Amino acid sequence: MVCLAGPASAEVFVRWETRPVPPRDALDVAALVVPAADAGLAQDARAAGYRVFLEAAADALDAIPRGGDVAGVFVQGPVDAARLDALRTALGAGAVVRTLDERGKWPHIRTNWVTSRNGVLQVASRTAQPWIENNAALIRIAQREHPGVVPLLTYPWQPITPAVGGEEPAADDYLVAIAEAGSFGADLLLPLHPAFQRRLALGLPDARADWGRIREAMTFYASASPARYEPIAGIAVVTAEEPMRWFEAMNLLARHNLPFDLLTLDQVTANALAPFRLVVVLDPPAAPQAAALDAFARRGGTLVTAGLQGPFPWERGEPASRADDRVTYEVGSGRAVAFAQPVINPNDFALAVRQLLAPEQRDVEIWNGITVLAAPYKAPGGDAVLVTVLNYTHQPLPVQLRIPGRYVSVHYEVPGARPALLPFRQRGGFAEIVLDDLTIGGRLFMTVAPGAEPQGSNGK
Amino acid sequence: MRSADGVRHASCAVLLLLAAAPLWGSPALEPPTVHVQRYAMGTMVDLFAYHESREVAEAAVERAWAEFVRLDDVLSSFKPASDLSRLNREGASGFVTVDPSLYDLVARSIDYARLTGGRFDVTVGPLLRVWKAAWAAGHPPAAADVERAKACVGSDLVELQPPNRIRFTSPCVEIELGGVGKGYAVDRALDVLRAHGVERALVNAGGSSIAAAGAPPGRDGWPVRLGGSIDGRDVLLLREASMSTSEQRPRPFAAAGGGVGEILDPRSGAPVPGAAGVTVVASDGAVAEALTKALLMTAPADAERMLARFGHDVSAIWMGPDGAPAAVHNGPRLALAGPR
Repeated sequence: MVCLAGPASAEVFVRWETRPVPPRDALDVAALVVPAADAGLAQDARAAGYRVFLEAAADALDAIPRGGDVAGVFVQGPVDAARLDALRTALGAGAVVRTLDERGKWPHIRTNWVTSRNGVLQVASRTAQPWIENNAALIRIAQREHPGVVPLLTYPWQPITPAVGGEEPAADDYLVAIAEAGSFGADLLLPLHPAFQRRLALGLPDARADWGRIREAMTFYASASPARYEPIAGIAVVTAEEPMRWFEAMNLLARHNLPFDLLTLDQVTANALAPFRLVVVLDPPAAPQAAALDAFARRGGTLVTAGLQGPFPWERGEPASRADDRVTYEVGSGRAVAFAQPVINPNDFALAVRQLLAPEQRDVEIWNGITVLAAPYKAPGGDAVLVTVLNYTHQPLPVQLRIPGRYVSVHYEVPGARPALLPFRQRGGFAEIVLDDLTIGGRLFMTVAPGAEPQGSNGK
Repeated sequence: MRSADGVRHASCAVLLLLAAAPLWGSPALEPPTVHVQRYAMGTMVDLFAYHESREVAEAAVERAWAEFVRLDDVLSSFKPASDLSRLNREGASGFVTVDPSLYDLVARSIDYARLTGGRFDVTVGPLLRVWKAAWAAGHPPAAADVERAKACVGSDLVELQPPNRIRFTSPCVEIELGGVGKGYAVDRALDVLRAHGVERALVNAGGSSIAAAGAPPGRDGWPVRLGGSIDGRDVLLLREASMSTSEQRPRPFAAAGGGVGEILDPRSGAPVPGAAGVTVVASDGAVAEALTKALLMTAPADAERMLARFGHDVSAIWMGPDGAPAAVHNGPRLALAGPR
C-alpha cells in the first residue's frame, strides 16, 4: 500500500462560447473560460461580472493581451515550460497559466455495438458488460507525469447514440463529468453545450433547474476534494518512459477497482517497491531493476510480468506451475507470475491481476457495482479514510463495499443532502458498507479505530 | 445436409428457409427517429423506434423504458427491495404476493424447466453462489458444498397459487431470473412501444436479448450480425421475433486446474464444460433466452425433441469454441442475409 502525494486543489471551470453571457448572479460562478480568439466575448463576460480565463492554442499565446484583466490562460496542446513562465510573467501577479490535458473522454457508460456498418445495427452476443468510458487511469498517469500539479482535464461531448437529435448532454452527463474529476483528483474545464448555454442565457426554467444541480455538484466536489488526502494503491505498474503506451492495461485496472501507482523503470528500487503488494512490469527491466524486483518478490510480494523476455533472476528455479498463458515461480516468500504475451486483452489481464490479489489484499471491494468506480484515500494523519464512489449509470443502484481497516464511524454524503452516519459491519479486518441508492457520486468518511493499522497495510 | 433429427450442420451448404431482400448494396440504414441507450439489468439497453412523428416515438420509447426499469426493479435479485428479493427472503415462510409480471415469469420458467428436462431452472441460485465464491477464492468448490446447494435446486420446490402468490417448499430455495429476465423484458418493452403506436422498433438488452417489431424503412427485417457466418451469411434479419444468445467461456481458476463459466447445469451442479455458444430465435423472448441455456447443455443432434415441445417457430444456432456457427436448427423466423 502506498499513499501518493495528493494534489492541492480541485476545481471545475465553466467554458462559455455563446452570446449573450448571462449575468454572474444567474450562474453563481465567479469565473468563465472563453476562447482567447473572441475578445468581444471576453469583454462581455467581464461586463457581466465574471473573472475571465482565456483558452488558447499553444501557437496562439503571443496574441494573448497582456494586462490586468486576464485572470488566467488555459493552454491547448504541448508547450514548453519556459513559454508558460514567460506568459505568467507578462500577465502579472496572480494570473493563472495552466496546460489542458485533452487526452480524456467524456465519461459515460456505453456498450460496444455496431452502428450501421454495412447497414447492420447490432451484434448478437452474450450479455455485453457495460463499458465505462472513464478517466481514472488517465488522471493517475497525469498526476505522475507532473508530480504536484493537478491535472486540468477537458474533452468534447460525444453523443452515445446516432439517432436523429438528442445529441446534447443531459444534466446527468455533466454531473458524472464533475463527479469523476472530483473523485479522482483532477480539475475540469467543463464544456457546456451551446444549446444549453443559450437556454441558460434565456433563463428557461428547465435549464436553470439543471444548472442548479450542476452547481450543487461543483460545490460538493470543491468542498472536500481528494486533494487533501493521499491516494491509496497496493499495486504498482512499472513501465518505460512512455506510460501511455500501456494505457489500456492501466485503464482496465482502474475499471476493475484496482487502484495503482505508476513507476518508471528508472524509479524502481527496493525502497520504492516496498509499500506495494503486487507489481506489474510491462517493459523489460535492466539488471539493477530486475534485482530490485526479485527482492520485492522474495520479501513476499507478487511480481507480474507480461510478454517480457528474460532471463530474469526470478526465473532461476523450476516453475511452480504452468498454465496456457503464464508460468508461476515461487520466489522466496513471494512469487513471480510471467504471462507469456504482452497485454493483448487488457480486460482479461486486469481480471487475472485481481485474482492474484487475495481478498484481504484488495484496497476496495465492490459487490453489485459493475458500473461503479471507487477510490480510497488516506488522511495525512492516518486517522481517517476517504472513499469516493461514482456510479456511471445515472440510475440508483444498491452498492456494497468492503474497505480494509477497522473503523469507529462512517459518514456518507452526496450532493444536495446532509451528511449521514452510515451503519456498517466490521467483519475481520474489513468494514462492510451498503449504499442503498448510489445514483451518481458520493463519498465516505471513515474514522479509523484508535490503534488500528492504517488501511491496506495488512496486505502482504 | 439435414440430419435425421432435423439439425443441419452449418458447414454444409443448404438453402435457408426465408429469402430476404439483399442487404448488401442496399442504401444505408435510415437513422431511427429515436434511439436511447441506458443502463438496466446489468447491461446497456438500446431502444430504437421509427415513426413519422418524433413526439410519438419519444413518448413511446420513454414509456417502454419505464416498463423495462420497472421490470428490473421487480425481477432483480441484486436489488434488496425488489419483489424477487422479497420472495427469496420470505418464500419459505409461506405464500408471498408478488407483482403479476414476477408471477408470470416464474410460472413460465417452471414450464421451461419441465420442457427442458431440468436443463433450465430458475432455482439454480444456491449453486451459482457456491461457484461464484469458488471463483473468487481461486479454486473449485468442495463437492459437499455443491451437493448441499443441489438439494436446494428444483422447480418442484416452488409452488404457485394463481393469480399472484408464490411460496417455496424448502427453506433454501432461491430464484434467480438472470437467465430469462432480459428476454422477458425486451418483449414487454416492445409491447409497450406497439401499444403506443410504434410498429417499427427494436429493443436490445446488451446484445444477448433482442426483440424486433416490424422492420426499418425499406428493409425486410432488423439486421443483426451473428458471431460467424452460416452458408456465407452472417446477418440475421429479425422481424416480429426475439432472439437471444448465451455463451460459455470458462476461465481458469487462479490456484488450481479446471475453470468455471457462468452457466451451470442444474442437473449436475457443475458448469457447462468447454467453450460454446447458442443463439435462439423465437416468437417469445423468454423462451428464446431460456432455450439458449438449455441448448448449451444439449448436443444439436439431441435437441430436436426438446425444441419441438416449444412449438414450431424456434430456430437455434450452435457456435463452436471459436464463435463460428457449428450447427443450425431451422425455424420459420431464421432469415439470413449477407454476401454469399
